[in-house]
Formats: sequence, structure tokens, C-alpha cells
Amino acid sequence: MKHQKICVLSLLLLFFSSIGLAGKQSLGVFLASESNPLDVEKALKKDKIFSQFDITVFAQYKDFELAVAKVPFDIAILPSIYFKTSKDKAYSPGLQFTRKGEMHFRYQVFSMDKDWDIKRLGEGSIGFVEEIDRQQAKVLVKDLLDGKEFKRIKPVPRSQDLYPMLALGNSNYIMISPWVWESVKRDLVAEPNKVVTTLEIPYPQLGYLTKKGELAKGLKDFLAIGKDALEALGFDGIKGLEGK
Amino acid sequence: MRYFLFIMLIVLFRQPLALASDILVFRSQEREFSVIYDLLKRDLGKYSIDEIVVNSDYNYDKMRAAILAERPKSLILLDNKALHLAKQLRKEADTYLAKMQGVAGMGLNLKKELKDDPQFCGVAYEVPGYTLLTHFRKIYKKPLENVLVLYRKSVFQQEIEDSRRQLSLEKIGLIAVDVEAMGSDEASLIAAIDKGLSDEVSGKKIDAVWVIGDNGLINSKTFGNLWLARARKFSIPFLCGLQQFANPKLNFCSYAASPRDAGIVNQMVQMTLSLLEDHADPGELGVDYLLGTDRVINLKKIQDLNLPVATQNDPELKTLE
Repeated sequence: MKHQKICVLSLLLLFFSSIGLAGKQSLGVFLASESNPLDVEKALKKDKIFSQFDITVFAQYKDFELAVAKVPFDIAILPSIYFKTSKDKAYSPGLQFTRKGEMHFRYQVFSMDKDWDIKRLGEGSIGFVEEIDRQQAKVLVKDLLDGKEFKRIKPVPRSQDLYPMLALGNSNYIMISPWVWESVKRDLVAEPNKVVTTLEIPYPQLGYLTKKGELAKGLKDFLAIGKDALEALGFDGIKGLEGK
Repeated sequence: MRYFLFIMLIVLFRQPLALASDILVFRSQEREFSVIYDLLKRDLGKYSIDEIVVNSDYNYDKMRAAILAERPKSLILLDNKALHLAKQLRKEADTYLAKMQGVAGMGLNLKKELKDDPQFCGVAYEVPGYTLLTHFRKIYKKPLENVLVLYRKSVFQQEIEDSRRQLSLEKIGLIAVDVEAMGSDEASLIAAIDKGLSDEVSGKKIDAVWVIGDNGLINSKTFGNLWLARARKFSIPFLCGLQQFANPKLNFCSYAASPRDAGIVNQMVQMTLSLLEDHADPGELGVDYLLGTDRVINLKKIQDLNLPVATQNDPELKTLE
């Protein structure tokens, strides 16, 4: 009789765990920044909103993709281009992070040698941090450069590797986000050439699993995220999507 | 009977498909190469990939047979022996073999080995001077204006020229001494190292010494009497691209930046994808410098030399105590 009770209880626990009722909802974060993912995770766990989630922070796009392929996160914080370009649209954007009230930013394109200017873009290779699938990245980079052709893309997995790509001559240009550039500039003596800025693109967004549409209703709770958690993510505000 | 023949036909036709790989990796047998292979396999997941271990008995005929059996679209060659064997493919009359392309990594001096090579591109394994010195500068509280490096021109000319140019933009002066200037025989090299390894050159005080891991310069004849002795005599840091040189027990280098596995793999993966998906020309891709490094500091040596450092400026820096 005792064994039967244990069996039944174990089965019930297994059942409820498998349908997620035994645990928290999950949050996955992937942002191309220089922050240590463990430090970001620690900061988020202290926030009263985020602490309600099982949180995993990824430093690299491919690690996020591998994790999501096994078990998708209920909520995700991702670059806006991920939501825009992902083929299966597994995630839908719900909220917009901001910096100084702005919802958009522009990547900056630099070269080391003045000879590699805007006219020679079609002959050169362009390095950038890998935030989406390689094939989609080629289309996106061209769109952001307003249709300008370039010869080759050279993705790097970490923002720390982007400026060295240029300095070492591995690529002729790099396309770098303004917040990574601010961080890189601090240690720099060299003065690379600013070639062009791209078209505008929204800052990273907070989204939900598209197939679990009901999660979207709970997203407004995230508008109460604390200042420290926002700062750990690299932002100072969060609001509804543009026009919503 | 008919069913049996039908099944046998299916098995026979499926056999070559089961053996074929998109990418064939030829690698040395040491453990570090096995680690790299596992990472390559993970990151090139959408392609079928197989490996062949190249030991001391392995020869060109075996490589040729393996490639013809698996008919890969591209090769990855880890270590110089695999690369040297693969370079013989271009002499083949068979077009498939002669035009085989691939990516080389974890080999010595690939910038020179693959200069203007039409078939293979690669990732250099040596940590560039730019990377080593700019990372060190982040944590070093004294000026880093003049850095000494001893090198063999016959082996590292391009790397030194590139380093000099890259570092000059960062206002770090590289004082590069070619130890082959008076001769490349052993006695001349030893004399050149003895003369060149100094903490002052042409009236300029040297702020640090960049130690290149070249066994033509650092070997049993030179390590103890010259390199180690000077590192223990001078009050300046010796910086290197090999983690073992910064081991506190050795009392040699103060700081090291060594190749990061995931970094090399990523660069090789991207080059392989450029060949397979973008149909890039290996000659155009060339040999890239290594990007990702693991940094370590020999805190005991730093303290013995009384050098001011701010290790918190590099969150990825590990301390060897």
C-alpha cells in the first residue's frame, strides 16, 4: 500500500513537472554586449519581477539557439532583428527597451584605413556580432546599409572580438552597435574611420513564445522592472512597442 | 527471394551515402585536437562531418584514399602535417582532388605556409602581438611605449611587420630585433639573443619584452642561460603567447595570452561556411589572425617585480598563484 502511494505521488510529480505547473516560467536572454552573462543573471534574479522566472543569460547567439531547440523559453529578451528575421517566428515581440527615451539606434560602420571608404564597400568584408542566422544576416546587413553591396560578411560570436577583427586586418569594415563602441573606445588610442551609420533599428525587445499567445497578456508586469535590472541589461527604460 | 534481393539492393545503394561526409577533418592525435574536433562537429551541425587521425605513419596515399572514399565538399586540416599532405592534392590529374578546398588551423606559421595559396585558407595559431600587448595594457598601470621582441625574419617577418603597424596606431612602439641578421647558424643565433635581449635599446628604455614561442629561439641551449636569466634580472615584465611560460614555478613570464579553443573553432567554422555557402575563394580569404584568447597573470612574478596592475580591468583574466 505504501509503495503504491509513493508510485502514485511520483507519477503525479512527474506529470505536473512535465506540464510546467511544478516550476516557474522560463526566461532566456541573449544580447550582444560585453557584460558577463553570470553577472547579468545575478542582477536579474534580484529584481522582484524577474525573480519569478528561471533565468538563463547567453553570451552567444548559437548557444541561445541550441538551448531553444531543446526546450524553448516562455519569455525571451533578444535583439529586435531576431524577432524580425527568424524564419519560424517562434517568438513575438511584446515590449521595447529604451535608452534615454529612444526606441531606436543605428549601427556604426568603421574601417582602419581611409582607403576603405563608402565607395569601396562592395569590395570589402564586413565584420559584425552574430545575432541571427548567417544567411539572414547577409540580407539584413544589406538592408541596414540601405541596399549597398558588400563582398563578404564575417560574423564573430562575441562583441569583444569585433574591434580586434578590424585592428588585425581580418576584415575591412566592422558594423558595431553604439553601446559596444562606447565600451571599446575607452581602451583605444587608435582612431578608426567612421564610414557610415546604418538605417535605424529598434533596440532589443522582450517577447513571448508565439504559440503560447496568452503569455502576451502578462507582459505588462515587466513594465515594473527595476532600475538595477534594466541597467544590468544595458537599458534605462521599457515601454510598449511603437504604436502600441 | 525477390524480397531478399530488393533489400540487398537498398543496402548496396545506401552504403556510399552512409560513408559520404560534407566535411572531412584531418587532425593530429593529441587530445587538444580531439577537443577542437568535437567543437567543430557541434558548430557545423547541419553538415555531416567526419575525422581522420593523422599519426606518424599517415601518408599522402592514405589521405588520398580517404578523400576518394568519403568525397567531402571541403576539408579541415588541423596541424602542419595534415596541411603538408593535403597540399599535394593540387598535383593530381583528377579534377575533384586537384580542386579540393579547405581550412587549416592549429598549425605553425600558417601565414607563411599559406601565402598566396589558391586552395586553402586558415587561422593563424600564434597570438598576435597586438592582442597580447593591448590586453596587457588594459591592466598595466605603467606606460607601455617601447616593447622589445626578438624574432627570426625567415619565419615571422610578416607577423612582425603587421604587429609593428598595428601597435603604432595604439602608440606602442615595437622594437623588433632580427636575430638572423648576423647569421642563422646556432652560434650566431645564441650570440644575437645574448646581445639583443636587453632592457635598453639604442638609448630607449624597454617597458616589456614580447616572447615569441619559437623553438628556434627558445630551446635547451638558450632558455636557462639567456631567457630565464634575463627575465629574473630585469625589472620589466616578459609577456608571451603560451600559458605554460607564465607558470609561477617557472618564474619566467608575468603574463600570457593563449589561443581560446572556442574562438579558433568559430573562425574556422565561418571560413568553412564561406567556402561551402558563399563559394568564396580560399586565396581571397587568406589566413586570419587569431581573435579569441585566454589571459593569465603570474601574480607572484608581478609582485616580485613590484609592478602596478589593475586586474579588475580584464574580467576574463585568470590569476596563476
